[in-house]
Amino acid sequence: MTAPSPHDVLRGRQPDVDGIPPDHDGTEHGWPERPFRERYDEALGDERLARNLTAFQQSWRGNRGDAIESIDFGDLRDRLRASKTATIADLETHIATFQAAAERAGARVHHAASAADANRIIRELAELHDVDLIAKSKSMVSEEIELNHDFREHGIDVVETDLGEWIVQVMGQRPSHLVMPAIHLGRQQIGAVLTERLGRDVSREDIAEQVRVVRDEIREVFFTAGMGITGANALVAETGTVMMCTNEGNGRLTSSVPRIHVVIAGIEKLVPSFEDAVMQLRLLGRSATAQTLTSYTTFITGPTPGHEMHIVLVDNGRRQMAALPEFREALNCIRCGACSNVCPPYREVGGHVFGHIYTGAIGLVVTPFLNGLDAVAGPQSLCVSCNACATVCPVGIPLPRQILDVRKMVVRKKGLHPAKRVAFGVLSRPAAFALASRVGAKAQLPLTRGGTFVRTQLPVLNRQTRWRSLPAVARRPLRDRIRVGETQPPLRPVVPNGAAGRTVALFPGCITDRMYPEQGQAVNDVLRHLGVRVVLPVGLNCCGLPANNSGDEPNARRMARQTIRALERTRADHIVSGSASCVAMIAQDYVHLFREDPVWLPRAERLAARVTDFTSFLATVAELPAGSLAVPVPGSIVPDGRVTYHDSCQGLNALGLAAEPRRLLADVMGLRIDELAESTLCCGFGGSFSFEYPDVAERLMNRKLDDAESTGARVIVTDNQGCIMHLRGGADAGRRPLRVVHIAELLAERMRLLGAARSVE
Amino acid sequence: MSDTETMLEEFGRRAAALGVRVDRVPDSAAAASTVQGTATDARVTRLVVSGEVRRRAPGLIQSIEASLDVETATDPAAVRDAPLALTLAHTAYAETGSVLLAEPDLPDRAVGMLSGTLVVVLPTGGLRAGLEDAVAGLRAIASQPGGGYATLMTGPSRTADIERVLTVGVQGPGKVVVVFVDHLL
Ligand code: SF4
Ligand code: SF4
Repeated sequence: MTAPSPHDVLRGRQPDVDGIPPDHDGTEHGWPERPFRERYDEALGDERLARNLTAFQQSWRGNRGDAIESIDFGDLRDRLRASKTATIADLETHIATFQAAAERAGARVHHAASAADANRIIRELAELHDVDLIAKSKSMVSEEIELNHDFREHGIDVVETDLGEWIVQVMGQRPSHLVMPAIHLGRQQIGAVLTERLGRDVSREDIAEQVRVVRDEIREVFFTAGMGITGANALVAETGTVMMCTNEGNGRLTSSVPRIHVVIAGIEKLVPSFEDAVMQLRLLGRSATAQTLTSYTTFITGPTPGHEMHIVLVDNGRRQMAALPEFREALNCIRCGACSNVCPPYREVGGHVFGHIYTGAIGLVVTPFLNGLDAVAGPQSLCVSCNACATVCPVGIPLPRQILDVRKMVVRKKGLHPAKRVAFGVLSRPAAFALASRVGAKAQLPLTRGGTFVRTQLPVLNRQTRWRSLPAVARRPLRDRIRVGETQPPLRPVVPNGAAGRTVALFPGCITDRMYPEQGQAVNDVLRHLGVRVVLPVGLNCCGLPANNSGDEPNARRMARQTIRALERTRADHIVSGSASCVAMIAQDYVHLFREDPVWLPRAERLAARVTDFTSFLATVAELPAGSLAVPVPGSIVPDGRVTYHDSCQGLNALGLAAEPRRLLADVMGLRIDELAESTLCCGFGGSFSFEYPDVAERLMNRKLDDAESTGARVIVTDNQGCIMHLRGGADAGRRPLRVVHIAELLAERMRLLGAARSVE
Repeated sequence: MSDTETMLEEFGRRAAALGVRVDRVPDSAAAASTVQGTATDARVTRLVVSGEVRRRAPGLIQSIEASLDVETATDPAAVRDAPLALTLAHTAYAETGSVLLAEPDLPDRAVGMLSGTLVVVLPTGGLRAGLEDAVAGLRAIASQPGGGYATLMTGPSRTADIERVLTVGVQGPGKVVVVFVDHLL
């Protein structure tokens, strides 16, 4: 059998090798894409995929942590963000400066309004120069415009020269990650495909051999291609310079050896000066691959002597994004891929499901503009709103919020799921919600037998509930335990603290009120034992978070208005909630919900300034002294004094709480904290997410519970009722020896004890 | 320690972490020995050099020619997969262990792109502290009439595209040696 040429390899059909899931519909180019649910189910069935991605995310986190030690990440991020934002605000000026300088240096600049335009411009150049083979280095814009497919249809072969890109091209797939295109594949699959395609035996184990084989296949292309296409990491306006970061060296060859060099770049890649480019470099390598710099950072100004250089500036929806305040900041993206590297659902299903052509969080945001809303309707629903991506993005893009804005667009176009429509309709009407809760509390009795869980399986909800017990509705909600609207007098402070004498309005949140009133009671009691006057305001309902996270903007606004009305009436010094999620919603999301409402925006802003979460209140207002609650408690929730702490996504990622709860547990209460292996990872609840995507939710939950068990501690402490509901349900259904409690419950048992001792004295 | 010593120490640490060998030598004769030693290790007698290093360090080339067959790069095909090559860096940066290669001409560029082992020489005085120090050089290179082509090279060519396993030496040099020469002639 003769070895095929690079042309033959690329013209080959979809491999039919055991264990390799086909990734397209059988057409030669592989697109259009198969339905989202089909891809989702297939990814879930591929155990190796989640294993690979888990290992990747875990090692990336550690390496990135080491890589950013030598810089002030927050400061650099803020400066780069400011620079990119200012550039986008004056984009046309920078484009004009860039074009003039690039053309002075001998390059030609082309403007492509659409994907079709970009393909046509480059194709005409190829035809003009009789080019039938093109070498291409990694360029996400070329993926966006489906250049390879377009050129193939016109009889021009484009060969990817980046190793990972070449592999996915040969397999008829798309990259599944912005930076690591073949991260979804394993060596066995790659070895099998190479053996089949090249007609000779290639190791399925030896990665060095696989790299050598692919490298040799690609090498010839640089010398035979008539055109080289590269992307750009930045376009430096002052000199018309193209900046390109690569590791393999293929980008330098692609931009140098073929006689025609075409650069294809989105218009958002403009930076004014080399100072801005260097600032970007300091963050790009570290965020992408945890390198201080990639092996080659190349600056190209004008063509190689005797060659031609063309720069195609692609709009394709970017100017439309720039005109929308909600989405403008997504143009600051430097395509580092970090947002995928911390994303919990991405880890479980990979980039062919979590994204479209652009994958990960940023893919969910830009796809509607670049490739249409339909392409992202399914993938966006997989975002669990955990906010992890926002914490690592080197340009501080508010990705979770933008994803919710995309979700709202999808809901506006396609409508809300009927079950959610009913649920939010009830939730947003306080009387109906109250009635439903009371009826539910009675109706559930045959299922709960008076306990705290609904354990009976409903066949219709089997997939959603077989792995977790659902919480019972409390027979007496918090509002029946504390007199609503009546200020409770303070108790004598059990420890010296800075909150004594203040008044706090308590916002329990609807889960606490209806499911876990004992946790609301605990918050209430802790505050009172600090000498605080506490009031449960009149008119409280759900804060609107479930509706907001489901893209139901009208009901989210309706509940937000109810909450603002109820809380702004109180004259308390502070509004405190034991639910980190509710606080993030009220203090952060309301302002966005009412961004165009001149009446409600100022009211939302005023309220945001008054709301604080329970842990922060204790840390910044009460300032409990170290050791002040380190007392033995008979019959304590934590008999052995050991706990592990689960950082809720909203507590950690939205409110920035990490040290505060640990100080309360360890310093104030004297407990030993056995840290979770991946303490920053979401537990998989995400509200209705866990009903829509029970398989992903179950996996994330079990990972968390496994990690918790292996700490040796038997008590998981956290600050969010959603996580408590999810983890308790999982621990109960899995008969795990774990208790899940709110931090207030631990504080309360100590304060009650001290309070009782005081009253005896 | 002098500023240069401090920068050399940092450059050496950063570059070594990437698998780059770094030498500092007093003069071109000593630099020639380093190149010869590298050739011996690689078991080769042929050395491809860039036109730039031949022009700017004729003394070094002369010393090397005593023991190796030195060939000046003329076009990429001739340099393709040359086992050993030598080029001159514009500057180097301690912060990242990078060398800045300014290579407007294709044959010179090919030396750094297509060889298996690349030796990069530069005057010790060309070592700078941080990347912000690269800005002026990059601007100057880009502002030349007809533009320019410059690369900050940070370690050997590498990939981790398959299962994140690092493999060095893909399309660029798999081995890099940087030689700082106090008096480069
Ligand atoms: S918010 Fe969480 S789930 Fe959503 S994209 Fe970001 S990291 Fe992924
Ligand atoms: S959105 Fe941020 S984290 Fe994601 S690829 Fe872009 S720059 Fe990187």
